[in-house]
Amino acid sequence: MTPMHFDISQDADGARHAVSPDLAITVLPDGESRMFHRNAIKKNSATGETTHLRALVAELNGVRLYAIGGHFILTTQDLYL
Amino acid sequence: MKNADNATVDNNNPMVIPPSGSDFSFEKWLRLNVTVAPSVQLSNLKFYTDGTSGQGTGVKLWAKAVASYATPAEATGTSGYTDAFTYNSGAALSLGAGPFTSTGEKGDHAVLMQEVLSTATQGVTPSETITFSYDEI
Repeated sequence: MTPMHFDISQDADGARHAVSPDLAITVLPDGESRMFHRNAIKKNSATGETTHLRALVAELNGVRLYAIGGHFILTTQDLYL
Repeated sequence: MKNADNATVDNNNPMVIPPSGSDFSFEKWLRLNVTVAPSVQLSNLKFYTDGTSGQGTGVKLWAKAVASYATPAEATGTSGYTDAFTYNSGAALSLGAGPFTSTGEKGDHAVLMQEVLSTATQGVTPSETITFSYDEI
C-alpha cells in the first residue's frame, strides 16, 4: 500500500494546511505550530523486504495530531511508527 | 548477519557457535539514500528495533552510529556498540538531526553486527525488523 501523501502549505497569516486527495487538515495560527510527514522504513532482516509507513503530523502548542491512514491520534507524545 | 563480506541473503557463511567466547559477524553498514529530493527538507533521522530480541539465548545484535564510512570488517568485540534492542520507538538511535536537502546518502551510518555465544542454539534465527525513520516537509 502506498503511504498517504499530503501537500503541506502555509498561508501568510501562519495557518498551515495539509491536503491529500481524501483529507484536509488545517492548523490555525493560534500559537507555535508545525506540520511534517513522519516516515518509517521497516526492513526485514531475513528477506530484505521493506515496508514504508507514513504519518502526517500536525502540531499546535505541543499537542500533536498524527494521521496514519484513517487512524487519528491526538497526543503530546513524540510517536514513532 | 553472516561471516562473509557481502549483502546476499542466503545461508552461506553462517555464524558458528564457538566452544567458548564469541563469534562475531561482519559489520553491516546501512545509510539512508534519498532518491527523490524532498519538497523542503528531511530531518530527525532515527534507527530502532521493536525492542525485543527474538533471536534466542546466546545471540545478540549490536548497533552504533558512525559518521564516516569505513570498509566493513569482521567485528572483534562489542566496544563502541550498544545492544540494538535497547533502541526502540521510544528511545531510538539518532542518525542525524539534519536538515538534509537534495538526493544522495544522508546522515550517519547505522552499523550492525551480530554476536553468537557458546550458549546459542543451532539453527536459523527468526527474522527481525529494523526501522529507519525520518521527518519530511
